[in-house]
Amino acid sequence: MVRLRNSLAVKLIFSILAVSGIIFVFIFGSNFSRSHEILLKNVRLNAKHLSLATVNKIEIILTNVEKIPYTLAYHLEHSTLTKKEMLNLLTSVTASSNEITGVTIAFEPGLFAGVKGEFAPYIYKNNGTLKTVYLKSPENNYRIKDWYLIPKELGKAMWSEPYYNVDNNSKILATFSAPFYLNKNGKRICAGVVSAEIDLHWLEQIVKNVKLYKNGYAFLISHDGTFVTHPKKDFIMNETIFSVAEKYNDSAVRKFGQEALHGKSDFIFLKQFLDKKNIWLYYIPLLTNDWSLGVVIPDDELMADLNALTKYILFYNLLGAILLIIAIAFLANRITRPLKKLAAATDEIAGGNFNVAIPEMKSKDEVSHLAISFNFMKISLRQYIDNLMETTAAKQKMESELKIAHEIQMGILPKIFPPFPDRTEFDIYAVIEPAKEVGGDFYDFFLLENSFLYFSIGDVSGKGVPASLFMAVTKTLIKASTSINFPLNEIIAKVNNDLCVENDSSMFVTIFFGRINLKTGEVDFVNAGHNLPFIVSLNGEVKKIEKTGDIAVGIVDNYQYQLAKIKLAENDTLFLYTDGITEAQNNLDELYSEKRLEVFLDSQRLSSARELVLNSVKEVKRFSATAPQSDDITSFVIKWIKPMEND
Amino acid sequence: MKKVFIILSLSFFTLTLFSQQKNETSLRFLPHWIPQAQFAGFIIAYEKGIYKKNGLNVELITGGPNRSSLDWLKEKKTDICLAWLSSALQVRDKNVKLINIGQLIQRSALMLVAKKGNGIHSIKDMNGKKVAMWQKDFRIQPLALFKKFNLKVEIFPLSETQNIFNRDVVDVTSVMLYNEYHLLKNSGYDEKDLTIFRFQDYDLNFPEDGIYVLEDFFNKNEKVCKTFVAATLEGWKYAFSHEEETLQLVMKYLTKAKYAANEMHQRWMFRQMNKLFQPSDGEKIGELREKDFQNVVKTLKESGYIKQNISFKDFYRSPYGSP
Repeated sequence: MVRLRNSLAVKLIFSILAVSGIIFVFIFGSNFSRSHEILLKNVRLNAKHLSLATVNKIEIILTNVEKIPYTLAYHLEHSTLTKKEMLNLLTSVTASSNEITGVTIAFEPGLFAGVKGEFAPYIYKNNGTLKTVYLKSPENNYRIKDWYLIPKELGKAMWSEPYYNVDNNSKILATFSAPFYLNKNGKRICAGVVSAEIDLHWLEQIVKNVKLYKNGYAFLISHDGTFVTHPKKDFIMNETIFSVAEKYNDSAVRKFGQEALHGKSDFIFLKQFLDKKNIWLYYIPLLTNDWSLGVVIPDDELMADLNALTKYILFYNLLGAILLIIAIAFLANRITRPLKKLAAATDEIAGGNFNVAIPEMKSKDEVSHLAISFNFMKISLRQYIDNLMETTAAKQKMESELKIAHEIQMGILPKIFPPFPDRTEFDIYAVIEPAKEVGGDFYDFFLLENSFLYFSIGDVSGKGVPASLFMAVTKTLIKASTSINFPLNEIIAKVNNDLCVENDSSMFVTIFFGRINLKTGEVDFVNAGHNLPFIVSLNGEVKKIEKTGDIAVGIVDNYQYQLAKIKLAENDTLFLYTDGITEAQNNLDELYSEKRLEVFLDSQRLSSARELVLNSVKEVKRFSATAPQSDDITSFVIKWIKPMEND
Repeated sequence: MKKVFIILSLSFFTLTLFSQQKNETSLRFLPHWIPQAQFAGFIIAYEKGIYKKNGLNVELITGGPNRSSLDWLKEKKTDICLAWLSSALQVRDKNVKLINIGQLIQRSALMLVAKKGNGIHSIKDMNGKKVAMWQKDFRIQPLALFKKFNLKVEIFPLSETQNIFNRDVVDVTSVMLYNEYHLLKNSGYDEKDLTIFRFQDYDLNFPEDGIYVLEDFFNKNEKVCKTFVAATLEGWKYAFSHEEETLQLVMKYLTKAKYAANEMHQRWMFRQMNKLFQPSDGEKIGELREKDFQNVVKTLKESGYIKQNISFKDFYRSPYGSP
């Protein structure tokens, strides 16, 4: 089974979701920030327009009020009024204005004609009637009051800071004061201040109407940061923007206060404003009196629509992702289901079951192509394996037959050593180390009349069964043809003639055939194209038997073979072999060669027949090392120890 | 000195509503300004029943700008009052036999403040500048200072607000550390923007709030007077270790007297009071040091505010025993 995390469906889901997730985050993020920007821009604009409208509304009223002190100041500078005229004027302007609660004309001491010292008539509204008071030190030392002193000293008309009504703490008032001047001795001097006092209750109402979003609000701070209006009543006249900043330990609010009081305007974000919500604040100065209007927009309300939209988008994206997962899973399943079936079928085939059906595909996609190819492969594989099985069976049969043939072949060679345990005058030993295939080497020996040891060694051309049959025939023919009275060359000639008859396959065999007279050591021999044996003397001499020049048996009909003779000395060893020894190859493709054999034999003169045979095979194998043996190795040794005693 | 210029229609509001007990001695006490953290110890001693516990039935008269505590004492409209040492010495100089029975504020809270932006960084920079000052006793130290450093300044009257400073009519203004200085900070001034002149730095330290009675009254009621001072000091000690509780009570008094009550401001004031109460020699609170006394007398005499020699022994009765 495929592990879940390795499954195609999971991989597809993860990679597609990851890619689409990245795309989504990018689109969503940029969309969000852009929307946020636009939202803020619009809100800023809204707040700005609302603030400007509000400031305008306030300033229209304030400017209207300003006209009265300005006008009065103008009158005072350009005409000389009697006390009565002045009071009438004061009364009529105070009565004429809805906003104005009182008007004062305050003179510098002694500058109002006819009055010594301070002169400052103050007319004010009281329960619908107008009252007149003359401000006088020490109770009402107007000359140290802000509304008088500051405009006089600065030489300009201005609004005072807001203050509470003297009689009634609930009324917040402000005064607009304009200094007026006289020419005295050619010098323009300040003669006093005209002031109009207004109740600011309408201000609260105007500012209250400034509202952006559900819980948005606005507030007014005066020139020293005091709250003039604020939804929190206890802030009004009691806290400044700085005391609030101190209370909530909020340096950003303090900074805003300082900027605002410097007549600046901005749209800023304040975190946890007054320890509560994050807010956006638009602030703008009132140029008339250096106050500042702040419009507060709660961030959460501002962001509410965007947040709702965000949630909406996130929800549908989640839904989309789920649909995507389902679609991918479905698709992946459609792809992998046939693949899984194919895989199962493959497992069956791998297990040797070629009868399993390859699932049929309805679709015409790549997977169905794969299934078709797979089915074709299965059929081809099955045919191939059928063929292979047949061939293998045939081969196995043949091999087993060959093995039997080889065993039979070997079975006809004498294999019991020592063959003549009671004979001490000679020693004999032989071995055939067969190559993988059945070969055509043979050796043979037998005694005739007790004193004649006939021996032969041969090598049939070619390999395999024909060679082994040819060898068997040759060996049998030699033995059958041998008679004590026949010279060896005639025996071989006869064998040659017999083998030449109907030798369609043109096989031939090299034979060294000899006879040792065990009494004398005389050896008669015929060499039909075979490797010349060596004679190893006890004294160390190694010599090759002289060549006779005869050809192999089975080639030329009626060929006349020659008989040759040599004489062995006591303890001379006759070393017979096939070309499996001299033509053995090592890993460097070198041949063992007669030269190496000669050297080897030189070291073996004290060996018994058996030792020499086994050592020679060992020597050749040592030489060959890991190189494969390509031919039969036959080693055959006869040692004439001493002359046979007469019977 | 309240920032907002309220002159309340003055009416007594009597705090002694409890039925008087037999052995209690009734005492009237008038502070020299409106109820605020400056007088927290008295409020605590009253509210926490420390006066009562000591057999005193104290009436805390609401002070204000139009009630001169020393006038009221002279006119026997109060038995005990709070006043500045310099003010009390001038009254004594005019043969009103009053005595100090406890000195609360050890150092001048009165300071001069200037805007660095107007080029004032050291005392010499004030030469030729416009300086706002309150009337009377608030001018003694500034004028002595200008004389000492030979500075010519143009003096402006300071009203209940600091607007003439805010509006740049003047370059230098007068503030009380525990009051207007904080209000300036709460009008947007940063400490780094201001140059501050403290009178104690120019050997013009005037101990301020002290407790005064007429000598006659003291001679007849010595034990009561001493008990009052001891109970008051106990009230202050309690207050300093119970800031939140004290501030709540102060706020209650301010609201009751219909003054704008700003808690952060009262907290500032209260904490400054704690500092101003601590004597520089680390001794007990409530004592008038002879050295401080002599310094004030010397300044007043040199400036012509007093003419007579006033001896420390005659003027002062230590709350902890004979001076």
